[in-house]
Amino acid sequence: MLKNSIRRLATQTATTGKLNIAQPSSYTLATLRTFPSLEPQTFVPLPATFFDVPLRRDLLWSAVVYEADKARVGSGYVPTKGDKPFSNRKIQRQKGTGNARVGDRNSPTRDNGLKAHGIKAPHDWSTELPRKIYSKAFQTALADQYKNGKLFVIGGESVTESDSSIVDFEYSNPEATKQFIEHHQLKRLHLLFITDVQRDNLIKSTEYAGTKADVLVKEAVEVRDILKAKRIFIELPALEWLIGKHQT
Amino acid sequence: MCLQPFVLLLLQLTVHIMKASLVRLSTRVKLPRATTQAFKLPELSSISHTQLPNNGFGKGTYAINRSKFGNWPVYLKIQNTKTVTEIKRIQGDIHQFARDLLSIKPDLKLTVNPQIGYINVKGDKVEEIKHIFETQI
Repeated sequence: MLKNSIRRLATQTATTGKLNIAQPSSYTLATLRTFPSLEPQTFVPLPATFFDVPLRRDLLWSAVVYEADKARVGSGYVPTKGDKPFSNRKIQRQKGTGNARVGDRNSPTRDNGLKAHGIKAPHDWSTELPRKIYSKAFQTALADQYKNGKLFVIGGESVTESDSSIVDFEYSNPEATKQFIEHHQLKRLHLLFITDVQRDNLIKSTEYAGTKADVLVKEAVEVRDILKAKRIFIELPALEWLIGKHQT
Repeated sequence: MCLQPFVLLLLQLTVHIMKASLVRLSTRVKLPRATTQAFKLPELSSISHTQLPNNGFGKGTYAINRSKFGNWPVYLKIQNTKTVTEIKRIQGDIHQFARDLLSIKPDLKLTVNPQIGYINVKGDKVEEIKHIFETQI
């Protein structure tokens, strides 16, 4: 509704020649805020090739499967004949019993839980994905959160003493996270804090929120983390680094 | 000091005919891994309003850009006896582009794929369309 009404106010672009050639937008704006008040300070121009990409669910699915495969430990272990859980003694003599010939108890044909061929730990389940496809998925995930207004870019100059341009609390007390969640009405929402370097106060304080808050350094961020989050608070240097890494 | 990697490389080449031995593995020259460069965001004052979304792009306008190596995205597609010229990566109002192309060359037979921004032209028209792009864009 609002989008449509804004679109009607759009201006006309200049064209040349018989072909109506014009250039699409190259930048889009994000609000720069301070932490933890989230007070808006100014705008920052973000590249449209990164933040104005269409939502491609197929790319997201590929990236999420790739990450989940990579995260598997591969500790599955099936005992086989080679593990020799039983004695090597021949169960019965070769001739004279009237029964079929048998060897020792380690045979997988016997009812002893052994398999002829079983998976052995450690096993590498990781799959391959082209780097550019993964980067496109990263762009798609971050752009979707940006378009839905769930991406909060932290930076700029702090105006008050308690406010800062980095994603960190002044004290490591759980009360800091509690007040942050209550003040911004983030209860029961999954929060993701992406920092440029390790922020000890933030890590200690967000233990209060349990599994509802993730604190990640920029290098550790995955597509799954971005998709899982309901609100993302990211430092401007970390965002610049991620754009630099995943720009195709 | 700076000759050392070169000497190692020569040594590696000499043992190349041998199968992977400990000697060969130990002389392998490792290239340094590229570090990620942070994207430099431009100053807010350097951005014009025409560079932002809602600049009117897509309302009767479109963009066709050259590829990374400076070629137009116009390709010949041969499928058995069928010859088709494919114009790829058309952003914006693709139907307007089809109308404009027909106004310049009315004899073209076009099929428009607005979903992915492709236009297929019947026959081999690669040079003609590239010439139009060269003169008009």
